[in-house]
Amino acid sequence: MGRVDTSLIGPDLVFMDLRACDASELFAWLEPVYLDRGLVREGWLEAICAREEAYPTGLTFDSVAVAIPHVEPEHIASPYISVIRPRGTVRFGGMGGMPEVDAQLVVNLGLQAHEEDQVLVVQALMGVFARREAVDEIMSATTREDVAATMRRWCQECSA
Amino acid sequence: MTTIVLACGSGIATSTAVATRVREVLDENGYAGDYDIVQCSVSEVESGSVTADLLIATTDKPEGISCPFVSGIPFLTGVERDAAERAVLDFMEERR
Repeated sequence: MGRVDTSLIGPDLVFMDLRACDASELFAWLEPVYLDRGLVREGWLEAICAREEAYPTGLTFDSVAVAIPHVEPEHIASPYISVIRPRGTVRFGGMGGMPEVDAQLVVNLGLQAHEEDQVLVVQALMGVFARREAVDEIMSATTREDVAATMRRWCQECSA
Repeated sequence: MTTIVLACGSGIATSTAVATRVREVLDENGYAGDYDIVQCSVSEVESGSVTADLLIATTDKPEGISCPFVSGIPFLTGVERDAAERAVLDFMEERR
């Protein structure tokens, strides 16, 4: 696998001090922010809540619990990846019928269909979450710039 | 030729990540050329518009499918990946 395009992971879409008890509460907070920045279309909130209900995205890795909520491409106006490192955890359903997940990190994938480089980012992220030292660095980063830079660096590392 | 269907909610994001891992495992074990991987959404599997010899999905096992099913989650997280790889390789071995 070659280098992945990590340009979609930007500091302005990293949120570190959010508190939300579950996925829908988190999405409700995010929608106006994403709408304001022209990233999603009207109706995104309803769509992503329905999607998360039907196909939950919580994943338990060895060293971290994450969720990777995403929605059908027609709700996305401009591709983005948004990283939420909440205060506390956010409850998500488990992907593939696995138990519920108290996510410590949420990565909202604003992907558009069949964009190969975007899919490679997803793949790289899976590698990142599986690496304890990567997770430790992301979880202990102190600024949004630091979180974004750390994730970008590890995405390259994990796709090399 | 064995058709392995990889399904997720959309047929785009997580199924692609799983497909890469599954291909690696199969090719490393000498199955290159013996299989086709088809990616789709799980609703296409449920509606019967896509048929599989083996279904790997990052969703719950769909209702009413008649082929063997392996969860795709271990290929994403690495947790219990050995067992999932074993299940796929055993399936291929039986068809040889």
